[in-house]
Amino acid sequence: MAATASAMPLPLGAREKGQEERALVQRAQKGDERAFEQLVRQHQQRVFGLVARVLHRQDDVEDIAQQVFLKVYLSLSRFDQRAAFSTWLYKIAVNECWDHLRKKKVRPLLYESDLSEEQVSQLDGIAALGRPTEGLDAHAETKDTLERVLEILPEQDRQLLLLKEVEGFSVQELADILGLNVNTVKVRLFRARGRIMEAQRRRAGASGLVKGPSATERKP
Amino acid sequence: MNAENDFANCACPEYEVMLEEYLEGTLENGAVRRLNEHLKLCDGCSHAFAEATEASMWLRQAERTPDPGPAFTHMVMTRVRTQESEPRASFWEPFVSLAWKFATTAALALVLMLAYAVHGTNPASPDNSVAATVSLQGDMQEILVAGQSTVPATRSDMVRMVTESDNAQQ
Repeated sequence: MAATASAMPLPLGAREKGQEERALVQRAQKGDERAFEQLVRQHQQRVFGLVARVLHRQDDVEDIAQQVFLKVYLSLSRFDQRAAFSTWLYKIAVNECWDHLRKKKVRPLLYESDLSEEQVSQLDGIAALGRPTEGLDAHAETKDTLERVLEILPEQDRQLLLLKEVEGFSVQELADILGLNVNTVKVRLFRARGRIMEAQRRRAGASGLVKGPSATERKP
Repeated sequence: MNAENDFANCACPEYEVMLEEYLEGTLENGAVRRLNEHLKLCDGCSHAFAEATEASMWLRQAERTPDPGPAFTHMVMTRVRTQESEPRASFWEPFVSLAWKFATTAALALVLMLAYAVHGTNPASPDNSVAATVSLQGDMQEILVAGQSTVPATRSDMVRMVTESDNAQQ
């Protein structure tokens, strides 16, 4: 039951797509640049999303994403197609991001969860000074609140949630990319969802404001 | 973190995987029935599930990273072609680089050892004190053999005792 996602047979469309991709990879391995270009086009958005979510900084995303595809091209001859091309590609992307973070010796980010409610409230006030408060519609405000609550979450929770819910990675893909057990990913995702609501409540409590869907739909 | 623990304690650990699968819509029918029965009885799990559902709905409002577009593909292919046109690095290149590092370190160590050998072993004042000491040691043995029990405390004492010994012999 636990590994339902991996054990489920692929739908016909997905199978055809997989075969098409295998053929493209084989052509690229034989030196067909057009086939490789097509692979880049097919995967660039997800690689871009993955790199952006892991780095959590916009500065180097494009450069790292390019570097990922260059590495893939250079080591394509060693790829034996035992795993899906996408899994292999995303693993390279994640490793490249980690290497980049290590080289830059990025300091651990300070999370709002480490701050007191008073400090969070003060930060909110400072941040609000730089943003236009009028003219923001409800949707934009909810998005803004969501982004700020995501900043509060621990790095791993934030990455998992965004990769799964926003960038569209499956649990199986996340497990393969991050080298985790499928059930571990599921549990982490489930807990991270709870934490995001908890973080939202803390913010609302700290600022005296109630934002987001939780405000109106809170269950007793 | 308390907040984390509070939430984690809400759902029964053995149901967390099922709850996530239920949320994703991948839970099998039999398990769905079992979970629904559990949710009716367990406030912690039903509260956690409601929160998780709410969080999922909220997260859907976040924007997906946009496709970088054809310009990105073009840049990647340009880098690939540039890389292709450059001569490939030899298989031995890393080993050669490592060997150079070793050679440099070894040369430096050799220079240091030579410098120590040249300057470190020579006495500060290169006079005849070594020869003098050897000569005095010979004289001392003669004195001791002759029955002198006094041991000289200083070098001048020793010289004096040797002189006296010579005079006595004469």
